[in-house]
Amino acid sequence: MTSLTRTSLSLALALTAVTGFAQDATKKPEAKPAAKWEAMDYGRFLSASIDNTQGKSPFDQKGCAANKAVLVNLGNREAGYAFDTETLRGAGAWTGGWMQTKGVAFDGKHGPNPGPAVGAKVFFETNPGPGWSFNGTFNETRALPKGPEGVMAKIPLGPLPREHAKYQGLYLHGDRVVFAYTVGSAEVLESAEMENVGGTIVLSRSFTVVKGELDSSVRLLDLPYGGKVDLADGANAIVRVEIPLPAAPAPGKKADPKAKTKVAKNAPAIVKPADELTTVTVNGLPAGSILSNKGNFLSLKLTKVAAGTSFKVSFAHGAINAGDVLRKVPSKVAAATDLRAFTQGGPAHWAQDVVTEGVLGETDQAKQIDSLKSRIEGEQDSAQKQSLKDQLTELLAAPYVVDTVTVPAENPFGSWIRVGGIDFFKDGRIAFSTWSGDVWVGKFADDKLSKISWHRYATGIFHGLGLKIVDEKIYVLGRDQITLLHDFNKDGEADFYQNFNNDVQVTSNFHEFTFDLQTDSQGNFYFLKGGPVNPGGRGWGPLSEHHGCIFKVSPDGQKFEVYATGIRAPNGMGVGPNGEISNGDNQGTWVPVDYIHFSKPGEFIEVPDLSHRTPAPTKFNPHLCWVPYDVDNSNGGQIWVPANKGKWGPFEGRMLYLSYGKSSLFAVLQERVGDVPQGGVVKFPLKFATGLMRARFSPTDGQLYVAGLKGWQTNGVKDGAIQRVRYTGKSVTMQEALHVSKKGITIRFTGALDKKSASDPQNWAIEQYNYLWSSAYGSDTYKVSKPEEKGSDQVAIQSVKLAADGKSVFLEVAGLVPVMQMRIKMNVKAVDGSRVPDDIAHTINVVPEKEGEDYRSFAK
Amino acid sequence: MLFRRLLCLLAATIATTLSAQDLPGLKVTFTAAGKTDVRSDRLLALYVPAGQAPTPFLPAGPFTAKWEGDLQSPLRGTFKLSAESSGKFKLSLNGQPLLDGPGIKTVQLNKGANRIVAEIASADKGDTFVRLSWASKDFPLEPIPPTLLTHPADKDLDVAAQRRDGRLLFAQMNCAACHNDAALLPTKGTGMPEHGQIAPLLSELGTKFKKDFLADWIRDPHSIRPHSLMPKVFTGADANQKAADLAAMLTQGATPKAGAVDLKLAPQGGALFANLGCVACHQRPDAEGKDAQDRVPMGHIADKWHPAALVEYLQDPAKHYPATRMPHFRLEEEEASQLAAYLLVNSRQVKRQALAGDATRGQALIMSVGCFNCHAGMPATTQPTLATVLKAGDKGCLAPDDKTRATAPDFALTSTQRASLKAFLATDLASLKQDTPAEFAERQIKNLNCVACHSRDATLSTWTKVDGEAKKLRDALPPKEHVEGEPVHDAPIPPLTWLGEKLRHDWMSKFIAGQIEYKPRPWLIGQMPAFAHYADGLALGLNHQHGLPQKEAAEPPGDAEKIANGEKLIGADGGFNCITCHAVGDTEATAVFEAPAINFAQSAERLRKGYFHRWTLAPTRIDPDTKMPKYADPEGMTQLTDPYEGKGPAQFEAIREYIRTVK
Repeated sequence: MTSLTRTSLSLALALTAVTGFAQDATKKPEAKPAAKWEAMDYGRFLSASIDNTQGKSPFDQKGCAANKAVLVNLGNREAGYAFDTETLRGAGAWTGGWMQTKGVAFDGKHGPNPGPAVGAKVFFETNPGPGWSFNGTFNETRALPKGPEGVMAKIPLGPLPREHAKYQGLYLHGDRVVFAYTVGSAEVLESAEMENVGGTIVLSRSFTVVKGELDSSVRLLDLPYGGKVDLADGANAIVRVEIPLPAAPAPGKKADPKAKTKVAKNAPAIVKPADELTTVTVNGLPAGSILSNKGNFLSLKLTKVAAGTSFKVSFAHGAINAGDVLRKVPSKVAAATDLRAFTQGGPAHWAQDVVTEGVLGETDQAKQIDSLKSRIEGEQDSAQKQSLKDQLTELLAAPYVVDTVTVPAENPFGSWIRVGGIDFFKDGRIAFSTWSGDVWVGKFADDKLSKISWHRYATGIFHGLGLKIVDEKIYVLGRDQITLLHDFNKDGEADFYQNFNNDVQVTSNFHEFTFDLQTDSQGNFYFLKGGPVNPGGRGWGPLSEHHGCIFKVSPDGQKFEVYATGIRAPNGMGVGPNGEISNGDNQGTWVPVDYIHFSKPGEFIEVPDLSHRTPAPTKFNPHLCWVPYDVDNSNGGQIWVPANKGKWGPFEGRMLYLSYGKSSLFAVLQERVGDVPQGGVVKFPLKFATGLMRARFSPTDGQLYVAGLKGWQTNGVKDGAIQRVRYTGKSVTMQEALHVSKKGITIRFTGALDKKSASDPQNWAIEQYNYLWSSAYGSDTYKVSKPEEKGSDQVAIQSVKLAADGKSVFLEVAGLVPVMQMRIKMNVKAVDGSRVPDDIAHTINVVPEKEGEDYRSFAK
Repeated sequence: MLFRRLLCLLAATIATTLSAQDLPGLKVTFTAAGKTDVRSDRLLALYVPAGQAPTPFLPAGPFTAKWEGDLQSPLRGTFKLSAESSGKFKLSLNGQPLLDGPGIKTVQLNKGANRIVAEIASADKGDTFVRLSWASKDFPLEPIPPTLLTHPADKDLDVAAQRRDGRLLFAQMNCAACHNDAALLPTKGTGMPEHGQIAPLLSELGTKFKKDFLADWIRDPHSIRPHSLMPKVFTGADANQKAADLAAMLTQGATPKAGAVDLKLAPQGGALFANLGCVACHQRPDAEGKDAQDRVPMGHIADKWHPAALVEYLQDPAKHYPATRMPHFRLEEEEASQLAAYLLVNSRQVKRQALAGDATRGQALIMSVGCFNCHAGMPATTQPTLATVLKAGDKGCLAPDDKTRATAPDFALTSTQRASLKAFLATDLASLKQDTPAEFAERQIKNLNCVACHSRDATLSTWTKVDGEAKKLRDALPPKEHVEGEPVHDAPIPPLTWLGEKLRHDWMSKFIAGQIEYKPRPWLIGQMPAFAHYADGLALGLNHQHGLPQKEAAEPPGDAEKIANGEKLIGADGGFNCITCHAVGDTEATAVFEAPAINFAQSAERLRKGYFHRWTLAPTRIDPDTKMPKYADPEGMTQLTDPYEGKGPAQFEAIREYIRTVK
């Protein structure tokens, strides 16, 4: 990995100046307000992958980088410490600012990750690998990923084996971030600090042994570009740091901006030795412990250090001619404190609540009603007048309205509210997580959303794109782990960020998002991880064993397993009442269009490259349905409507599907033929403010809350939003079920249809087509009649029959065959004259010989 | 590895909405000065500038046009029909009068065919135009798509089409080069543009072509390229000798162009052949047998060309033939060399007739046969006059067989072509003296084979159809990981369907002519080649086909408030975040992913205002696969309530105003 040394950062600076990546690259001279990602107060730490590259694998490089880093804010954003929670390694520390917020969740750039700011002065850094020795060596104890050469990331990924070391979480107390982990059988606390000793900055790592006997070495400092570690004695060391300089471009030639990755990857051509110095001192050196320079890196060998012992390793850094000062300073720092003092919760950080007012759907509706009324009055054309009147009737009879649960978008912390997960406490309070790493909790004053009090509950999560509340505790999914948040002192803020499970592997690819967080009735957790899509959208970066998988984590967080494989960019899943595990996915490499799939343990779903099987699969099990590009171009999650006395209308026990790209909500029509699911989607005629990703039903009002963000292509316009889809109690007439038989298709509605419009064949049309499952990005549509020809076929409807109860329609169609995409368009009305959603997009996997049970029950 | 899975299906009962007799487009009947002409048009749209004829077969002056056909609605439902027009326009739907003059009406359409009859009488003053649009609860106003307009087969249309085909053949085969008549035919440089176009100049032939090939070509061009316009001019026992003599004369004293082609570059050339779309117009040089796509054969290339001359030709195909259909790709020499290597390596070498030719005899032949009539535009000398031809019936060039044809040139005419020519010769030929841009564009779309690369209406491009061939050619090169920002081979080529509505004439004309320096869609692996000779007329005709004038109304400088709103609206903060994908002048897009988009600086100079609004309101109506989000609902409202109270058209207009200021 590119080093954090000063000059390699100035190399990065030189490159950014050439390539236009520099922060001051704005064209206009006038000062603009700071960008949202720069203005945000991220709190005391931020979890992220860190590297200095432009997004390609940094694995072949030396230097400070960590796939799961916690970047600790030292001082007032004056310095930073990076702790790798997988290897329990102090990855590096620096002054010159806390960090630069670069990357997809910050400035939107595809590739870079956060890291030390440009110009940072690195006090120490360590190479990737275990932060603590095991059986006397720092050798890697993790296995290499298994998989084809040239595709798999050939470096160890994921956390160290538990018997070696295990991350337990971090405590937040005032300005202190205290990491808790085990080393062998010992439990250790660690915290970094910045101190100013008579004008010289000292950065330190403090340790307290909590339990057991600490008998291991801690890696303190590496020299990726060379240098020399000299030991003064067992507690003091002087390190000469060699500083690489950037290669100068050939005379008359400008640096090639396209070559930026290459240049950054290559070792600098000129090495200027020994121009800086780091001095290291162990304060409170435990008996029998000693600094070591074996292997030309600095480590501290700890021998049977007893519980209750605290010690501190301090680093001073500067120019070589300041050596005298630097040598003396570390010994003058404050003594090591017992870190156990910081593990019970400290004062609140975000004392200020943010109060917002929600907007009821009726408010917007009233405006539309007024506008329609005045248009009706002014309309001369009688047909148009009637059309407007119909719209008014519909508006007045709308069974669902969309309320806005106004999120604290304006807040004193500059927190960028892009909602990635939501859930409810039993008392109706709502919690949400954000892409920028926050968790907020909101309390409603009433059902009318007249006052919502929001409190910032936690910060620093690595892309909070999933959240679940279990037993009144918040579990939030980051890319690095599921974090279980504890508020010990009941001040409404998390004091302990417990590592519930961090077995998921992470590389530094910008696009390998983890999504959603759900539980089944046994309490198992599920979440999704996408493939490492390359910048630009095509193909993959180096693969880990966890790319493109559904994961299952046991209720106690101890057992992690790959549940299913082969998904691309699956922004959302669902768990059904009977443990049905569903996922959506996003069109791209090997994904012709979005789809909804029900998976079984161990199943391969869709993308062979991410199947983690050899040889790669050449077929997959049928999806519930494909979702055409014009219906949903970017998926969200799924949710099942709970049985709740009809509080949310007639869809109880049925699944709903969200679209991120189209900011839409869909009812999912399902049937099973034997073991094979099939069905489709129908859009609710509702509009939402942002790309919908997550949904929950409130335990108190029984209504559906949907949430999401605008972070990549969507027609949503709000950066983040939570909206409530409220059932008004008015009659609903929508498609709820679909049954295919050899004779035709039966569609079941939740309400009775207007006989005249529904039984008129002119009001129905069917089109069908297939897709091509290939390594290409998405697929064209292909005729069923001529499989090699692009296009679609119209399907003749021989007759239309409306059932006696008016709730089922049978479309007589001869010769139905399995087809990846069928579209049924209709122009029918409900008995009350309101329009019925007019487009079913579904898939036929099987055409049953016999009419199914469903058909007989609802065709009568 | 590409793994394909297409469901194999036994049989599906498929019915299309169109009956077997339905043809695309509407029948249009034009009348002027007591004469009638008919044709089928893709759209219900027309633009006839004041003082110009509505069709080449009618005189200029007052005219009427009547459209008849069916609007195929996928479903019964409520729609709006809207007409913009000058002149006196009327529209009836399913037998009921609907519009009398421009306006908008709400109607019920039946599923399937809805009879449309529309009429216009030309404007008393100024240009005559009409554009018919529709809208529904699901989509805003748009021209009724050509794929939904049909008409039944029609005898009058067949007759008129035959006349048009004959007119084009007469012009393209350059009949007047031999059979001139100053009274009946237009003078040079006037009238139908294709009329009187000069065939390739014969200079430098010997530096370019191999003599034996040339002899074979002269002997029987159609055996090498079936659709060549060049006639076979020699018959009889000494035909081969005459061809050899002529070839000897044409190559006499010439030294083949010096230089070699590095044949090792063939795989790179093959990939270019696929990626530039050569494969859409031309068969692969190693292809055998009849081509299902009727592409121009290339098997003879190595026999024909001196290698260095081929490289030069590929870089400037129009050098000796301005009217060539072969476009100018602005190739770098390296690319031209790669292509040449691919063609030369893969051509099928044929044993050519190797008769020794006599250049002196050839010199006499070139004059007596009349080569220069076509190849240099010299006045016709020895051939029958046009008056004679008009009376000749099935003799001479129009003869159905070799015997009747005797010594007349053999154009390898099909019986359909002969019938078309005769039908045309039965007219007064006055149509050669004029043309309309709309018909010129329609002819050139066929002539230049635009559909080789671009889809149009329901017709898929040939390039798409031969994707398998293209893939094989690309796969001959070692695989390369895609790097962000580099072109991709499967990005869709823009369809031609709405081009005339979309692009401003000045920009389109320059673009087709190869005068736009930048590549608007740098992510496409292909590049639009230049058809300089045809650009201006083609662009104008496309605009007219969509009922639009050449120039849009001049716009005053933008309103400062709108411009400021527009700038905010394209941004991330309180806007649609257009800048994620669209660069704005020199400012790069913030986070392009999967969907690179056109720089806004180019949008303003490219797009017509009406199209800009149609695109922004409902992009998926134009391109169902576009990554551009649809922000407005069918009522035109967006989720951004500020500014303009969420009114999409006002917001998009502000964006347009801002974009106009971007350089």
